[in-house]
Amino acid sequence: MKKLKESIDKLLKTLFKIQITRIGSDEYKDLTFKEENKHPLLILNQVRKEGEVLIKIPLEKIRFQLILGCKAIKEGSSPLIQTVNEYLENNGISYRDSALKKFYSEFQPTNMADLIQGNSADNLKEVSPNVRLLPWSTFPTLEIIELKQRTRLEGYNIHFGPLSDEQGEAEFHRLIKLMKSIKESGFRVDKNTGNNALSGYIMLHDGEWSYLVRGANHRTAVLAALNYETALAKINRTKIIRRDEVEYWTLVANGFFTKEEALAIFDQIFKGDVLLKNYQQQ
Amino acid sequence: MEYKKRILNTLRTGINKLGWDFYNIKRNALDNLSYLEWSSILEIYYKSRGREIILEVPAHKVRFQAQNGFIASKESLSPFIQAINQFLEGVCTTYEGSELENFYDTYQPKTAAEYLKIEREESYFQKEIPLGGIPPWSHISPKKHIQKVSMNLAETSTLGRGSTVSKVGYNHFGPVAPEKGAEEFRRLISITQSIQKYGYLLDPSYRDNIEAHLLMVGEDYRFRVTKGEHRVAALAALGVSHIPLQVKMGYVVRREEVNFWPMVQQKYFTEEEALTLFDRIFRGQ
Repeated sequence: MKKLKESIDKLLKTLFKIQITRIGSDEYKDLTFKEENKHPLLILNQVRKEGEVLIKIPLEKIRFQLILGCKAIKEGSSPLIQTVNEYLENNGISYRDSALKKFYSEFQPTNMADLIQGNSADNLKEVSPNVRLLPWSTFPTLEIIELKQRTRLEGYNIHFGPLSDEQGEAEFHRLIKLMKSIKESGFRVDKNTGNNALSGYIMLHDGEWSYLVRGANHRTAVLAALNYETALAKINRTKIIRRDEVEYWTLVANGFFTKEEALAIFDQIFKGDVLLKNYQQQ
Repeated sequence: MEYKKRILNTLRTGINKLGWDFYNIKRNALDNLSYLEWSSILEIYYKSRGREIILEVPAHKVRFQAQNGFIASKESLSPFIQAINQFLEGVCTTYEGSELENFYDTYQPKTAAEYLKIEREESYFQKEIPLGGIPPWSHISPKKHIQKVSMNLAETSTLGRGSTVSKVGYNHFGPVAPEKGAEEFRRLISITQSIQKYGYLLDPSYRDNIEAHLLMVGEDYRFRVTKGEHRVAALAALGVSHIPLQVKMGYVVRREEVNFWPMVQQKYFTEEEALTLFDRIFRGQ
């Protein structure tokens, strides 16, 4: 039996480059679930170096919608949260009357500099706002960024306008459908595999921390609007961004962002609700 | 691409329900065994994002042999390196009479506190055996470490099934049984000769390379070897300027985060003791 398993293992590794393991076995190093409410660095130090840890993160620590850095709280400035709030308060609204529609119609940055609070740097004024890059993004070389910018200029971005009514409606319905599902069945995360959990970066500055969600914007908005206090999220030693290491962040090191621009982005996300609060007050 | 991803997700959900999971074994490798060009270690940290990488690290920045923290250079005080040096120079070709034997005969800490050089009388390590002398950033307790090392030795030792740590000793300090010492010596010489003959070969499957993790003070760094100590000793004794290390860059022990280290949190070490040990390894004293 053992030999058969070894042969199958070898076959899968050779042919498909995959390893199959029983969840919870010693070989299954991908995920550890930690219940305690501690600083993420303490939790990460308690587990072996491989894999991710699933923890409960207070929603107040969570930031989402990437560079917009929205806070995941019911009173937050995120148009996604505000739309769910309106829907819940009024027992249903249409996209046409929603905060989301208003947001897409009014918040239409024309370049990347518009997405950084107080930034006046000329070089980012020539970059499309659709280039959704953070200063610590891993993969891009300057060539890839340029390609991405060219191909995305004609595309759209759900984080801000302009967005066609058709695309806006689709976003709206996706959001409401998800809200109804979570309201009815709860936020279901598989604690063995971490499926459906939030994932993102831990941001560290001066002993304080926040958690920036990558993707999962609708889920985060719904959890905030439904007044969840914590969310199950994956953390990983390799996704920690330290403010004082700014000059080593990939897109600062390769010159795409200046140090000042990168810090401005970090700070607006870390603090949360800076950019949109400012826009909403205008 | 999207289609492929969807099939994979459906497949994964299916086998998850049966209690199994799968992952891509190559996903952690940043670059297929080609050395990464680098000048700043923090830049590499942000670039690699958790994938395994192979770095050629200046030998004088490498520390090994656990909490002894020897420097991996030809002139090192490491008994591993000195024994190989003696062999290469023809001064001593057997374990008997070698610097390794001398080390095991003369360096015999009685307690973990002595091994870690902790003088505080009420320290937990005063009553623990030397094998329990773990670093303050360890994620497992001294007792668990002893258990783990003992089990590993029982399973992997070439000295036979009955070779427990208490019977034959441990390779980072004495006393060790003569056959254990001789085995360590044989391993060192055979690896050195193999490297001399074939050169140092990397494992393309990323399973059996020299592994290390990063220690940092501000922007300065050292690599602490966690697997492949005999190979490090051989390379250092052969006078290489750089040692190829397989590193998972996410695992970084930062001096300024001492209060987050698990064994400091759990009061096995005071912050001062933890920093003293860190500094000693960092400096290679």
